[in-house]
Amino acid sequence: MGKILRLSLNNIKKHKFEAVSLALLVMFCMMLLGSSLAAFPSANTIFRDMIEKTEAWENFMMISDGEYDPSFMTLLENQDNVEDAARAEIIYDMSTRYIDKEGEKKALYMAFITEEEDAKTEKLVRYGCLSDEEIAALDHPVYLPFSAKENLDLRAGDTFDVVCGTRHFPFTVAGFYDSFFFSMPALGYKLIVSEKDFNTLSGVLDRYQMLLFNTEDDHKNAGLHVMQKYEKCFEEETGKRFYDVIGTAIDYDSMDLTASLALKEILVMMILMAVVITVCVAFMIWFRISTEIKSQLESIGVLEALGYTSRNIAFSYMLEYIIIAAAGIAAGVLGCRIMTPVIFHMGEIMSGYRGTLDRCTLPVAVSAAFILIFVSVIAFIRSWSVRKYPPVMALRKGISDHHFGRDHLPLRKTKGSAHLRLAMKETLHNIWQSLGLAACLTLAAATVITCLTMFVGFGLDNGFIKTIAGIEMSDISMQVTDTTDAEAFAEELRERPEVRKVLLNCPITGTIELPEHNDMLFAEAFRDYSETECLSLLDGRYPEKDDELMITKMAQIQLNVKVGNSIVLKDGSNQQTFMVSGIVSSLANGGRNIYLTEDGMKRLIPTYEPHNIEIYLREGADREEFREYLTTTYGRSLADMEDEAEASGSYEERVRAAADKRIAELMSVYGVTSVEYAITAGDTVITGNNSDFRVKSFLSIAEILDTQLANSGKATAASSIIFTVIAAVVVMIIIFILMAATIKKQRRHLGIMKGMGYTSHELMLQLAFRIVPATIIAVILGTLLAVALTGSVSSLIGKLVISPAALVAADIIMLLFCFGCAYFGARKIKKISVYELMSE
Amino acid sequence: MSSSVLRTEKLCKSFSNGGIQQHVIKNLDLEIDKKDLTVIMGASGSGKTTLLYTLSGMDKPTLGKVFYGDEDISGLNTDQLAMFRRKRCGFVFQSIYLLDSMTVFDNVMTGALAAQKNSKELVSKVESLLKKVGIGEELWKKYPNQLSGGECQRIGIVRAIINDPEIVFADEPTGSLNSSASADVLDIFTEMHKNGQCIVMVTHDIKTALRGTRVIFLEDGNIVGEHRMPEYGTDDIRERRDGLQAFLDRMGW
Repeated sequence: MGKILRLSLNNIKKHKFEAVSLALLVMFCMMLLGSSLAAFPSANTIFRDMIEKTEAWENFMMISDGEYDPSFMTLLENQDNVEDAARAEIIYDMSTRYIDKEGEKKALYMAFITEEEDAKTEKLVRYGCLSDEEIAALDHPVYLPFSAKENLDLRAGDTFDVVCGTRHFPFTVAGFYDSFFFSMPALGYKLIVSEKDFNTLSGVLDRYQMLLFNTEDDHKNAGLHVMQKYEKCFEEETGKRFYDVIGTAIDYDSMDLTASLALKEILVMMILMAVVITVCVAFMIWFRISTEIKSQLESIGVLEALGYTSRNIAFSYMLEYIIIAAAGIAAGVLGCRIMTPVIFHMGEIMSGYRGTLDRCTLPVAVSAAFILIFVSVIAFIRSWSVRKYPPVMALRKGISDHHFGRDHLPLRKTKGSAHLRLAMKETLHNIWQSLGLAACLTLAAATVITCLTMFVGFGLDNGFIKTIAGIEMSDISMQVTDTTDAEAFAEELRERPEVRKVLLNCPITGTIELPEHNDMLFAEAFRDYSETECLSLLDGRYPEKDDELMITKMAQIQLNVKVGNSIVLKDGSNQQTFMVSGIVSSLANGGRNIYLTEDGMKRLIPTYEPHNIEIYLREGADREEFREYLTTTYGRSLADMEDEAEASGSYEERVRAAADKRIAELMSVYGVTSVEYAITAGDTVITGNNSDFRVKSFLSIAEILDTQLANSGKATAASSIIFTVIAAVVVMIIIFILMAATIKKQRRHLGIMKGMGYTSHELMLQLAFRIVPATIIAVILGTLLAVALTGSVSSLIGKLVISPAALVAADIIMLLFCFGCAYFGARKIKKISVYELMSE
Repeated sequence: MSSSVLRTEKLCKSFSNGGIQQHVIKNLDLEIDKKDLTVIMGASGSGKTTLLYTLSGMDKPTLGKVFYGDEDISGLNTDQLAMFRRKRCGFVFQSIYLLDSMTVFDNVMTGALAAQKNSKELVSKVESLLKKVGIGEELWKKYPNQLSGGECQRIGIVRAIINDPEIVFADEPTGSLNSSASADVLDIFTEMHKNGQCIVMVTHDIKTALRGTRVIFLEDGNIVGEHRMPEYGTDDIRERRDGLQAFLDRMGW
């Protein structure tokens, strides 16, 4: 064993550069595999740990406070499988905004709750708070969930300005807490405020009764099934449409699915990256041992003549790679200790839950054992070929030097560059090596293109999400008050010079029953789909008639329907048949949407009226300015009026304020739709009408996406860049090892070429040209593989593709990078004199 | 007008061996006439091969100068030396050094393409030279391992002269060949010289040295003697051998 070890150590010493490079590859592999496997158990339990920590309820529904009746709670408690239920008051609004550190208004879904009410929903676990004295001194303290702290970059003591319509509510961050509900960026954040502030906000924002419940058994989607049954019972009992009164409803399994999805995606990507590196390590070991055996045949012969057996020599090679792998694994384990918490924290930010990283060493040990065994097996299989060389044959350098193969690319037919021709000859001469390299580079190229696609789709901006969201994302989306004539208002807005287009719709009216499929889908309607800009058609065409509908890809697969098939929809007792005219991408509502025409929706729900106005601005128009104009001109509320009525001013201003307050009351309390007044005060006639009170709320999904998915985007962008850099480093190492080994293997050949007058630069070019065919094949195959992979993975939600021009540019960059690495890696040839090269 | 093609001034070449400087060529002044087939002889370790490599630009001198005409090549970097070699020198090695992975024809073409672009004329030239040295068409697609040593060396010679060099350097060109193959190779050198090719050859074999017109004897990196002979085949071979033998005896050979 001692002599074998000595042989191995001697070999490592002789090839320090290759040994270090290979150890680096193993280290990357170990870091990625170990970190991802170590973080997986914690990612799996992060959600369940949080519900245990906060003792939160598992499911909830929010019912509009104005519509709420205590019988709704009784109805819930009487549902089968409901173990226990509770109720809490909460404010939830999708039109709220906040002012970020740069002073810009950013859209953000917000829920407001008092500490007392919050205690009914979950146990408050605070952290990072100001001192009690400091909190007591605050006028408007607010506690924010962990996720808000990380995503909005807030610290205790910071100002947090909430903007609702024309009003600002300045809060001071008193501290943070762990929340099970409303901690996920996509759902918005729950802000715990004082009772006084809660009452103030209640006058401006929508108030809800939060019905919380746990199920008796915990089978999959138990909470969802309860909600679906509750919806039916509710509509039967009250005669009201459930989705006219409900704000938001979330069940345990939906939260569980989305909580750690992003983190798991990154962990899976890390594992795949580790697999790519493992394949590369296998190729490098295979190639290096082959080269070593060929170039060291005489030494092998001498060793055999001295009494070393083939097994001894094979074991010495194996031991060499075990030592290299062990060094790489040791460094990788240290890397894991640093990388795992970083990855896990990234996952915490993405999920919104502060978890505890389980420091279990088993996954790291398993990863290390796997890599070590894999390296040993590959090294042994390849090195076992030394048994084919008995001493005499080995001393005569075997028969491998004797070339009787086909003459590839004879030089007499050289056209153009002789260097290119000579390089291609060598490439064909070493075809298996080129194919092995192509396989490694294909995987690396596929990784890079996948990362590029992810980066462009999710990391760069939310452009891709906007195209697959299945929601029309205009510049300004505005919900009008129930008393407003949306049609007339839209017409009025079309006259504005800033406005390019105005559409009417009613986004996500609620779920519609599909009795034949025993399923429910969310429905939305537009008058003319050809006017929409964000609904990406995958197949068929937009619905045009009142008996046509469009369905999302996900729903199409689940319902097993095609374009041209019929679907029966049911709302209450009204049942109508529609034909599927097209398939559309959709991310919203879990991809389970249907899209009808406005007439189609009225056929199904005769009371349907669009109350949402989508405003598309002309190029150059300032969205913020125009929204401000809409808010001040049409978006006044009763709460605003109360403030104004109390304000001092001229006699006319005070009269106008009092009249406006009265209008607001008439509209909000009595449902008056049209008010005009004329008041004579001395010689002055003060006139006015209710046109100032038409906007109920603003909603900008695009803005929300920008704000609430910003960190997910950043995490996706960061991981895409990190994986691309790792892939680039892996490729660089492979090419460097390949070049070093080629120079070693072809020392004599290159020496002769130098002797004939080829310069070092020309030989470096030839060596670099040799990898070009493998690289071209690899980037093409890798690109196709990545496009197919991302295409099939994203096919359920839409077409995640990047432009061919970007792909070609990426391929060219990869090609140039590989060429550059090969050229640079071949620079060693400069340092070797002709005499040294030839005399070996 | 001088017919010298190559000259050295105080040429020195030393190697560092374990921190000890080993001076192989010492202040050597030499002039090579283009009409000569110069043979360099000497005992093992006298610096013959080192001198050949230094003269041909394969290696750089430690001190001193090497002039080709008026051009001093001692200051050129390795790439400049390579470009110089491809255009102005040919080299024939004792170990032949053909490229194992290439056919006979491609071995010559590789040398040719280092200095010239491919053309019909170039291909014809390769074909005619190969035929001239007795390498028939049937061997052109064969690989070096399928040929005899003599055949390989003849290919090596063609590769050395394919770019019409001013000087062909030959390092023990018959060192690894049997007597019959050696005679064939030497006939080629003689023929080349008759056709005006300047040749500098290192050997320790008298039969090979007899083909020269000028024999230089090297000892400890210095020229210690020189012997001139008429062109091979123009005098009596016995007298030629005796003359050379007497010179070598004087040199202590």
